[in-house]
Amino acid sequence: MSGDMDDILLVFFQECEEQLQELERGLSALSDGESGKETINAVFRAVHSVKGGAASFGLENLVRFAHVFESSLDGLRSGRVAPTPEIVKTFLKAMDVLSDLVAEAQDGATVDADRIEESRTELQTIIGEGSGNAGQKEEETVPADFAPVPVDFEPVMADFDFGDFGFEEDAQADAASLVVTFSPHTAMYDRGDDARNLLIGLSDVAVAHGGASLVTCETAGLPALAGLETEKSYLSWRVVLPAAVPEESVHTVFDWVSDVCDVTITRDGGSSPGGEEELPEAQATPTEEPEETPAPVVTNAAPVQAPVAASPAHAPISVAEKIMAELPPAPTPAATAPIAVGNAAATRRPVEQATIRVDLHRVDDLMDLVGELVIAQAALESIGQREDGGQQEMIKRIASMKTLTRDIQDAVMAVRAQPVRSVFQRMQRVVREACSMTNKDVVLTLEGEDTEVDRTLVEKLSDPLTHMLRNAVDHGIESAEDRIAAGKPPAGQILLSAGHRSGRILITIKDDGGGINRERVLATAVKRGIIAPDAVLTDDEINNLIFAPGFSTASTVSNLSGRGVGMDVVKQAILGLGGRVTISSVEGQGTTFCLSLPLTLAVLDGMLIVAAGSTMVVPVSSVVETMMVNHQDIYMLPDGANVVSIRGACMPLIPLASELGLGGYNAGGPSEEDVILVVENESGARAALIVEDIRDQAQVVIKSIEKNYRQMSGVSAATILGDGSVSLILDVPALVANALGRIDTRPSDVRTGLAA
Amino acid sequence: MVEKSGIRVLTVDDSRTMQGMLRKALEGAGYDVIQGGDGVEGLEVLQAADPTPNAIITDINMPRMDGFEFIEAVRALDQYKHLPMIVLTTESDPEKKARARAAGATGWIVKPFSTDSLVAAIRRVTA
Repeated sequence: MSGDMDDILLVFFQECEEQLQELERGLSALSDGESGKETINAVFRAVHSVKGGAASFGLENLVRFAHVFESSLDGLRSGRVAPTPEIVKTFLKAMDVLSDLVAEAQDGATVDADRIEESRTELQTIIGEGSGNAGQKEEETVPADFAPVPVDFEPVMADFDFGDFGFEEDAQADAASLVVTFSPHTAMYDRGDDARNLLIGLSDVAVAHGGASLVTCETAGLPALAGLETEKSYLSWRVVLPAAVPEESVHTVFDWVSDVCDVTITRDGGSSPGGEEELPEAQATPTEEPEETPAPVVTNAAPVQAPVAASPAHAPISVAEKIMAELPPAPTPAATAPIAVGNAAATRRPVEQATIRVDLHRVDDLMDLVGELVIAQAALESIGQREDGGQQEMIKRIASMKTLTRDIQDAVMAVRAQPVRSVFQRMQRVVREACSMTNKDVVLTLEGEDTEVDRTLVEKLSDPLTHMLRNAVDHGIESAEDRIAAGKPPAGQILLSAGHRSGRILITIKDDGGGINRERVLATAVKRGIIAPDAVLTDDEINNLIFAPGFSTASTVSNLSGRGVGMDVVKQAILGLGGRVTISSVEGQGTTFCLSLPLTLAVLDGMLIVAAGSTMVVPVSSVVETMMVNHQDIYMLPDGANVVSIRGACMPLIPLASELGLGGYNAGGPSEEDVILVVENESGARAALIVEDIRDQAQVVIKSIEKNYRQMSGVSAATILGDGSVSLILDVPALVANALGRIDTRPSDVRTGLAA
Repeated sequence: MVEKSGIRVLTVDDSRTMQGMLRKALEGAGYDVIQGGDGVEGLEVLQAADPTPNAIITDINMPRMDGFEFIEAVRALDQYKHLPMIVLTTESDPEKKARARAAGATGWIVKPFSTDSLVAAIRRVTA
């Protein structure tokens, strides 16, 4: 299997992903009652495409299932089957199985055979109903022409190895030559075909049997030049083929043109070779889609006969296809190919996401900017050559270069950006499965699927979201009886939305369930030893207990959420992405989880500040304002902590140097030279950082500190500044949370997400 | 290095997988390949193509403009009246074959295809 094929296989899996999304979209539309022709066609096409591609790679399981799926969708397309909620549900289930089978082909994860079988049976019922034979199992096997044929780009295929069939000539040595006469109608030429093509076809057949064709053209029908109509057909041909050629091969050559070309086939001398079996078509596995039979003019001319063993060698197109389809996959040399494909896919898994599809205009934008960059560079060079040094000009140019660099960065980011749609749509399935496992009815509504974030982030969102949604269905939404008793509609609602908020992406998962039962959470936390029995906690602190390691509120571990992955893992995953999770919950009305994530994991806008003599970076997005220190506004609390009152609002004062453990500097309170930075976390809680100076504002490239050292409280990452020095990037929300933890000045609803 | 045949083939298919395979198979056999993602694009590519392709391979089931419509549209243009057009599809329904014939298709290959059968078909219609 060549590297080229690997590339195409990658494209195939990518395309499968897209088709499955398309399918999901279409089926969702169907379940919303939108059963337009376009929707149904799109759904059909998606499955059809997956099948077509899979067949090319010999992915048998996938092809078989896709085929049944496609057939059942065909009923929908032709109007035999109506898209009732029941049927759409069956399709959704089939889609999940299909998606699993794609995954199986891709990375070797095995799919539960019972699930496939169950879904297949359901689909077959639909097919049965559609054709008026309810219950009848149709198309148990894939029709012959859908059987996978491994594609092989080697120059010669085994099936076409003509040398192997020499014995044939001996066997039929004394048989009579085959004489073919044909006269094309004008219509044949109108179809882009040519008598020449047929002659080549016949010649190929002759050569395949070690002989040659003898061609004579019958020109008697040709009129005088004056009467000649150039586009009309006047000629007919007589071709003598070697005796070894079976008539079936000749039929195949004329198969397609049988309606526009008169053909007769005779054996010179009439004795036909004995001992043949029936023609391959008659043997083909009975299928729903019968093979086309040759037109009467041909079949009537002579009984069609073909020695089966020889057939593969008589290789004109369609017979070869059919024969190949009939061969059991195992014994053919080429049949090892699918296995190779599977292995290749499995081993390649880690780099599977290495390609992205990008809108052309984004690449064009990037090109334009790079073009400008080249011009700017040329301008700089010309300044350098000037006699007077051109200092003013140089500064101007460098400034414009800076803008340009910024634009290029944005453009590159845009190339990497991807809508969250792909992940969000996958959640429909998560909820569907969670529903069927818990016997609940939940409708997941998606909002803001077009919100774009960096590609790496999109992928990493999948696991945490999956768990949170499972959790929402399992623990958030009440049972139908409870809901009815509480005066709610029996079907639960979960809203999954995404949007941009001040340079970050905000994802909310909102359910209309029973809300967090704080009493029970508290009791459980005490029981598990997460908190002391006498601890006094605010509502939000209690809510956040569900993120504590080893916490589970379900009195009995359900088969859904009780998979060993707790909300603490979710929180860690989000934190690992530089994000935050906050919860708000109203008992009886539901729970809302807010995930706030950076748009990218690569760069951020930073304010360069100085603390304890070192330059550090504060993300600009978290800075609200900066001001000089005014001692009148600073108050000391009884426990020694300071708060500052800014326009009437009190917030904790954090001397950054001592907060980070960089010596006792600032211990005596801020000096007049210091600067106050008012910073804010995602939920709006504020604190005032005291720093020594503000140096600059710059875009910094984020380097993980966790990967190279370990996680540090108050520091989220590191970066390398323009002068080559390493600088720490401060974790503002953590700093704010730490400060608020010590000083009780906050409104109770702001301490979120970070208590655990 | 594959020897160039100087023959140009337009392939029309909405599946990038299939397009990739067609390109590999045909370029490997020395053909020059141009491609269109559905009937509408196929027509655009065809009319913009210089030189005009010597043959077309088209899928049937495509969005916007399907293979039947595409074949009809091409045949309706005088300069392509005799341009060979081969259908490449997973289907083998006789009704559909008849429809393709009526629309003016030159041949019909069932997917999955083998490189040899594909090349043989192209050779046949472009020799």
